[in-house]
Amino acid sequence: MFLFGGPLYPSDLERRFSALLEAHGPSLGRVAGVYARDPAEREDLLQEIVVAIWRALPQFRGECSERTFVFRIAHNRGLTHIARHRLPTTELTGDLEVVDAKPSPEQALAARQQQKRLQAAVQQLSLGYRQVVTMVLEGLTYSEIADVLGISEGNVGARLTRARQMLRSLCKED
Amino acid sequence: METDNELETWRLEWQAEYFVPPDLRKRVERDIRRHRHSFWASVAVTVLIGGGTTLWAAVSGESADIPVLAAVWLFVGITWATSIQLERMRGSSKPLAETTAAFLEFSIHSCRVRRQGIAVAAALYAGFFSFMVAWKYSQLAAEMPLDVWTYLTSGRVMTQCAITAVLAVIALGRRRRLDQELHHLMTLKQRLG
Repeated sequence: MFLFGGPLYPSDLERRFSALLEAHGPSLGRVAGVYARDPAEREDLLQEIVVAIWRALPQFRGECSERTFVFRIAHNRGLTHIARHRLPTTELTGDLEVVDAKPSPEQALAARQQQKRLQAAVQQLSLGYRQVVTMVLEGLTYSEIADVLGISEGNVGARLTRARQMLRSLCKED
Repeated sequence: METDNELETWRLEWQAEYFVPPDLRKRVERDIRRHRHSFWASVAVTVLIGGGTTLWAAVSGESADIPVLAAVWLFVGITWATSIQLERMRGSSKPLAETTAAFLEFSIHSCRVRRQGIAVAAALYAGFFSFMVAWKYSQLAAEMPLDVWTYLTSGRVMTQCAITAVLAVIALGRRRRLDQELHHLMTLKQRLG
């Protein structure tokens, strides 16, 4: 029955999937943004990430935190996206357009400018720094980031320090 | 302390962005169903080709059609067995949640297996195509005198050759894309390693 329009999962998995989307959807959208060149590509990548989560969810036994699980998949799909589309890994340029931003009055405009500036700066970082910064900005701990990337916590700290210096100077340039 | 404030400010700015297309859930469900349908589509093609040929052979009742029937089922069987084996080698049933380093290794391996898959498919196709051309020639030659060259340059064979050429171009294009993807994955591995 589920083959042609029924539920995607047995109900408990369906609930877990929905809860994951609810909790991490916005984070995933932002992660997709650091790997994609434009909003359309970003939407496609986000879709790919969510589909990959759906496929991996039945095998998830809680060996790591749910957040680590979700971010691993997101960054891995991002890498696949970069490899398939042969995107540059050292520098990404292009005007970023934020779609579906929550509508709010004038003060949102200034905030949006700030967001854009920060996003553009993050996108200009080389891939290794970009991954660490994105996860730090999403609130992951060093340990979680180390788990996602398969590097040591010390390495995470070192990359973050360097990335912050670069971000500072990139934001100043703007 | 100052630096922590800086990070906190960036974090707030960063997380203020909301990018979730309203139809995301629907798109994902559509995609998932398409994945499932593609498997059943392969089954349907197998049943159609295998079943169709079997039916045709049964209706014609000609013993000469038996080699074709055997060749079709052999081709179908090898194709399925090879696909399953390649999928296992590719490790696509492994969970997608791995470390970035492990995932890159897996992607490189998967890319290589997909390249092999193209070569295997080409070899299978070439074998089946050659068999069918030879079988048809033997059938026609049994009915009337037929020069091999005349047969090979006939409209029917030329059309099949043209289709084969188009398929070859598609396969080469796919292989080229995989080569580029592999190269890019190796670069990523080097850069992130």
